[in-house]
Amino acid sequence: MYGDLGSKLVLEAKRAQQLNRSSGAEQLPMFQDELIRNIIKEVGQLSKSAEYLTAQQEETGFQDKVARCQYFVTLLCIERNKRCLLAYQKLRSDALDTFTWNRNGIDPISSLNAAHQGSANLSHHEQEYLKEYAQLVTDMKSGDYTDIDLSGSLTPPSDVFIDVRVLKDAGEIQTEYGVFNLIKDSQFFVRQADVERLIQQGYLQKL
Amino acid sequence: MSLPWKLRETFSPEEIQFMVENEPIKIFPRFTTKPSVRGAARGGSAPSAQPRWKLLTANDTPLNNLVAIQTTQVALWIALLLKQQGKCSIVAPEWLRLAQLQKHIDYELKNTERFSDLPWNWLVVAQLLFSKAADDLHDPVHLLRGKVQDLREIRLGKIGQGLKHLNESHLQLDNLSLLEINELRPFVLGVMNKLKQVHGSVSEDQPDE
Repeated sequence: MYGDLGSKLVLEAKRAQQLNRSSGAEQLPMFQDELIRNIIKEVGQLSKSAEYLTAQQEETGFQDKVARCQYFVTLLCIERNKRCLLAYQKLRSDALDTFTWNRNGIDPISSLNAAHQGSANLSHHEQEYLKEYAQLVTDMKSGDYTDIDLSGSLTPPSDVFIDVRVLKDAGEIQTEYGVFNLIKDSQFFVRQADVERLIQQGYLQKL
Repeated sequence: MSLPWKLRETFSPEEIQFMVENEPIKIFPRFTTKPSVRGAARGGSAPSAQPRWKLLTANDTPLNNLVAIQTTQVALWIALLLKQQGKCSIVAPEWLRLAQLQKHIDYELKNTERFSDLPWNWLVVAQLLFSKAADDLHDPVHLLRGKVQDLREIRLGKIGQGLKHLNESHLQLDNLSLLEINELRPFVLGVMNKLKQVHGSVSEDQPDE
């Protein structure tokens, strides 16, 4: 039946959403290229039959009730496929937006490729979209709100100074407020504002 | 979206704590920031009436006029910062005493239909003071903790009872604290929205029949 492929796609989207919520790992599953192409093919067939039906109706002078019903149902099928495709795509683009906010804005801004290992999972258009959205975010941050780090942590600050432990060797890292020598398993007592970005990147662990 | 889905429909507990930390609380400072007038007159240790430093915050008048061992009202977050460095002791709020809490508990037990009028931030304040200013409270902390836990459980039970009366139009939650409302919010809003939808569709259908 028409629309079955669409519900398969939506199920796939649902699964991806659940994956995102439970693990918090910002990884998108593969883009369902095959499935989407099949749906589009189906829509093509539907629109062809719709055209055929209109042509037929013009002959009979728009009187045939059965033909009209056929035409209407065909339209509904196209409509449903469109909905499924859009829902799938919207979910993925939401995940990409979240990803841009969580990762890409952080200190080395050009981390787009380094951060997103899963870029093979994205379709060509999605990669384009991700790049442009990251650009938009950067524009916004360098616009009126330069004083605030908009992509920074959303948990309210509670302690000014915190203990951090270094999880990964990173050599000497320059933060805006000074140089740290990050040797694995060493501990620091530092201002939270200085190390927030390093915590987000996974170099440090808050204690 | 830029906001993670967890934060979209309710506050996180950290955000609640952040809001509560803006409330005023009384402290006993252990140091003086008030410019000393006498010193200025003598021209001795403090040459000018203007202090050489000032504490800068949004509302700094009380902070720049602290006198040691004189109660002052400051925001809770400043009080906690000072407390951490041993520069003040916090005056526990009125309701955070054994007798007061016991009264609240009695009230809760007597009136099964309503909540006693604790301040809207009681859970968070109690938790913050227990963990960070335990030595400033009037009564031993373990007893206070017990009472607060009792109160919390009684109220939780009532909340559970109250959920029976969820309907599509309204809900009365007098004297429920922010944290308690916050943990209810996703559930109650979800259920009430669904009820409203169902109700709306029914009342739309009826005139047609």
